[in-house]
Amino acid sequence: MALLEVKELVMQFGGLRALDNVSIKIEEGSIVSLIGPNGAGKSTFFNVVTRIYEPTEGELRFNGHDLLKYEPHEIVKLGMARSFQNLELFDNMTVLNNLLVAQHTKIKPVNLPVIGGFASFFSDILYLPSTKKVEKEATQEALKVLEILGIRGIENLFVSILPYGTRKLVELARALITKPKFLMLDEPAAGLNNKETKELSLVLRKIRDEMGITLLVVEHDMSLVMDISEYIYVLSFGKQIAEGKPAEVQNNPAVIEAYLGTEEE
Amino acid sequence: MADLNNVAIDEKIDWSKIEVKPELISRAKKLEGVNEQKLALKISNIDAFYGKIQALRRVSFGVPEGSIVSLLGANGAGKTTTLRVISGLVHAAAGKIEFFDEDITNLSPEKITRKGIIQVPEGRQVFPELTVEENLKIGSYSIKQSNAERSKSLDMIYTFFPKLKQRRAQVAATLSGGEQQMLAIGRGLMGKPRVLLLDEPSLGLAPIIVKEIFEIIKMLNRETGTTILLVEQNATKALKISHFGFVLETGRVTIGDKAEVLLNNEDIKKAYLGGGH
Amino acid sequence: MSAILVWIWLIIGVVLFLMAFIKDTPSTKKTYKLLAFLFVITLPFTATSWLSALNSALLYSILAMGLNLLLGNAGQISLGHAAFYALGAYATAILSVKAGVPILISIILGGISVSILAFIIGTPILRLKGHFLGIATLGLHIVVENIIKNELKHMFPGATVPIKYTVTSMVDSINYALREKLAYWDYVSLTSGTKPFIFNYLQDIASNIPAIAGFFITLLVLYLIVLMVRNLLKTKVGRALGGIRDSEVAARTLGVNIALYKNIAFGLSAFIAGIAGGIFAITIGTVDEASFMLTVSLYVLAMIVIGGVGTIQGSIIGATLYQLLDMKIIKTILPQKYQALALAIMGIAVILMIIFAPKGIVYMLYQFKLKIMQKKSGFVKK
Ligand SMILES: Nc1ncnc2c1ncn2[C@@H]1O[C@H](COP(=O)(O)OP(=O)(O)OP(=O)(O)O)[C@@H](O)[C@H]1O
Ligand SMILES: Nc1ncnc2c1ncn2[C@@H]1O[C@H](COP(=O)(O)OP(=O)(O)OP(=O)(O)O)[C@@H](O)[C@H]1O
Ligand SMILES: [Mg+2]
Ligand SMILES: [Mg+2]
Repeated sequence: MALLEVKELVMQFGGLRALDNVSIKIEEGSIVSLIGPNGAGKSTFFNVVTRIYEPTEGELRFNGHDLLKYEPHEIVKLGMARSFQNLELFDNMTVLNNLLVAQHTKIKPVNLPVIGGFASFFSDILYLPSTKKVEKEATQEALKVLEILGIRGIENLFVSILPYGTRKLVELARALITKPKFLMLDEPAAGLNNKETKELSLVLRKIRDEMGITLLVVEHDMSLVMDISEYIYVLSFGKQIAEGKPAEVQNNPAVIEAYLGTEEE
Repeated sequence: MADLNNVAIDEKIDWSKIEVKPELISRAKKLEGVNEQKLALKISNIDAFYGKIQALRRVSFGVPEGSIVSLLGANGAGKTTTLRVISGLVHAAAGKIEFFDEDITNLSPEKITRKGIIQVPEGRQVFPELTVEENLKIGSYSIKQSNAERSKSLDMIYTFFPKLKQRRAQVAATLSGGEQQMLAIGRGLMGKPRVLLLDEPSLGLAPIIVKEIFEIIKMLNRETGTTILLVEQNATKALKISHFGFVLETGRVTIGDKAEVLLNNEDIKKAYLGGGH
Repeated sequence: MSAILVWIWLIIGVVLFLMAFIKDTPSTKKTYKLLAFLFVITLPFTATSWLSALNSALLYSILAMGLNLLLGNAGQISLGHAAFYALGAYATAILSVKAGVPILISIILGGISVSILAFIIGTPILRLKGHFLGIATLGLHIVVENIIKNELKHMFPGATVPIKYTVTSMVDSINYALREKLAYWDYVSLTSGTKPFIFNYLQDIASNIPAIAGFFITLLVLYLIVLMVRNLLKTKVGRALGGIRDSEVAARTLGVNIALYKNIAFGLSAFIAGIAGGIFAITIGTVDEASFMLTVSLYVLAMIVIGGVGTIQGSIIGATLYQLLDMKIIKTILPQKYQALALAIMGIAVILMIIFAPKGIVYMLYQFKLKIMQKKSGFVKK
């Protein structure tokens, strides 16, 4: 069974059909890319899947659940995480605190039914040992993820002072720490140079191979897309214009015309 | 007081081989073909700090009038900081910045913009609640212009980026990432810059548009003589349209030469050009 | 005599504070904490003529901390915060006077009921953003003001809380003992002709015992609320609020229930305002709408902006500075015939502070500290 299955999705903004009958299937354990010209609807697709936008029409199933029944803040519990194209980091917080917010649903000082929330709140206000313990565990977890991404050491810096490339990695770390089944990345390589992009593709492979996370990547850097994707969907003006293996898509005339352009050399 | 050049920093091994050339300015001047040209920007020995962190160490280079100069470097090297010092957004703790021989070090950002140095910031900082057209118009407020001239500039931007014309009445917050990037560049051009500082203009643009962006930059430079200082991750493409290139490494300029020379430099190829595409 | 003592004490306090701020190494921290503690507990005994200003500085620190939690930490504006302050005061008065609940318990119950009310009201109005939320909270204030005028006022026709429900009654025995002692000395002096040299001083203190007690009670509550807010900010709720402030969409995607947490922020900040209201009722002893006018909300807002948005220190520094300037410093410095200008001078002072320290005093102090550190490490040239 596919992990994510989207059927005939339509997203209408006023007179604009940002997504027009899009059907996408993502198998568990795969790395899939979504590409297309600027304004094709890729980020809109992410926003619909994560329930930020209410689709005009269509069906969304994730891991057996009907996504339309869930609120945006509940999707993380289903095992979905994402990054944002325009960086939505918590700028006035440290890197560590960014990663702690990401463990919001996991941090439970008092784990009881019904009154657990209240009890946790009082444990936090009094900073009881129960709070100390979960805070410490969450911090350890955060440091571990930073270690994996090779950015250990920046945890106490404010996010706003980091260079663009590092901020991208912090966003990736923040998504990873939720331990998702499915990770959606909106232009992870933007702002990275060639060498850094190569390192990123290794990291992404590792995320899939070692952590078993299914990946959906939106990216304009074709070196990354062709390198890591097993399957590619192409959108243009909200419509699906092509799909297939990297080699097929790369040579598809419609894709070349709408998106890739012809190589000058 | 400690010599700032000797403050210990972690040099990456690859780069220790590369000779540090201190007087890159005179070098840029001496390069053939630009003997007579004035320097639009002359950056000498700039130090800049963020709190305790030193982001730039004795950065020096020159941007000849009418040229395109690329500034390359890894994540965190200080490229954005260099542009921000030039446009007055970050304070220069030491050193001097000259704009056609006029000292503009640490002037206020508004004054620098009025002089015709315009920065297109990294990561598309458009005004989210204003429409596309309003954003563009704001770009022209630094200069005196009749309405006719202004709408002519608008038309020019719309021919560069037809996508913006389609979305002219939409608020910027809801534009796609690439559309916002086009808008940020367009807004910069509306101010008719004498020197345009571009911070990663190709960020988030589709390959087909990336090609167009570089074409536009080249054309702008050729047709209007606008001097351009370009920060890019897409180093190959950037160097191909540039006259000169400088490499920043942990806050210092480590290499500077003509663009063709850099394109063939083995170390640079390895570090920044990669396979290219 | 005591006027000079106050000034000396205040200057010591400011110096102490600045030193503690700039040299907060782990080794010196304990020393400064002890010194600060000694300073604060001796303060009311040096400054009887300043007591009302000091008490109101403490009270406003509590209020400012509540509003700052909402504004600085959760990024939601409220222009009608005085409404919760007023309701807290009335709730405390009603509970203790009409229902006979012990004073301290009625303050807590008052705070809780105000916060529940805020939580409920928050559900519709916190969907609004920015200016709209500002206007809605303003409207809330007007509604509450009307309720006070038309309903609650009839419950307290004289607007006074009987003495037996106020702090004054709590310190009755101390007060009585001291007065007895003084009377005895006075009597003895009739025959011996001498009074102990501290007689006048003690007499001064004796006449201010309720205010001094009010000082310590308010201080204790302020301290408890500082602890609460500090712990809150460094754990789950505080981080969720910060997430909402910095990026709602990211916070949501990470599992923060935005609507719920905005309500929590509103409820908490109303709780703190309600507690402040309760303290007001039992220390000042009157509850009338004049003390809770719309301007109170605006003053508190100004205090936060002056002190520093989003920081606990900012709330306290802003409120203290504002109240002392407003109630005491300007009036003492200004010659008698210019007293009418005090308010205008206060306005100018606020404007100047906003111009020269737009991010607040706390931020300015941090910048200052950073400069000192840079100088020490020999970074900055020139
Ligand atoms: N809330 C909205 N209201 C109106 N139009 C919108 C809204 N959100 C997106 N759009 C429009 O929908 C189209 C698709 O936008 P989307 O952000 O999905 O593009 P994208 O494929 O991610 O492009 P890019 O590669 O440039 O990021 C764009 O033309 C955009 O202007
Ligand atoms: N506001 C700030 N406060 C503190 N340090 C900062 C701030 N902005 C940047 N820095 C630091 O200065 C250094 C240079 O950053 P800069 O943004 O100039 O890099 P960059 O070369 O543009 O990198 P990128 O390609 O990732 O954008 C980095 O180490 C960064 O952490
Ligand atoms: Mg997008
Ligand atoms: Mg940069």
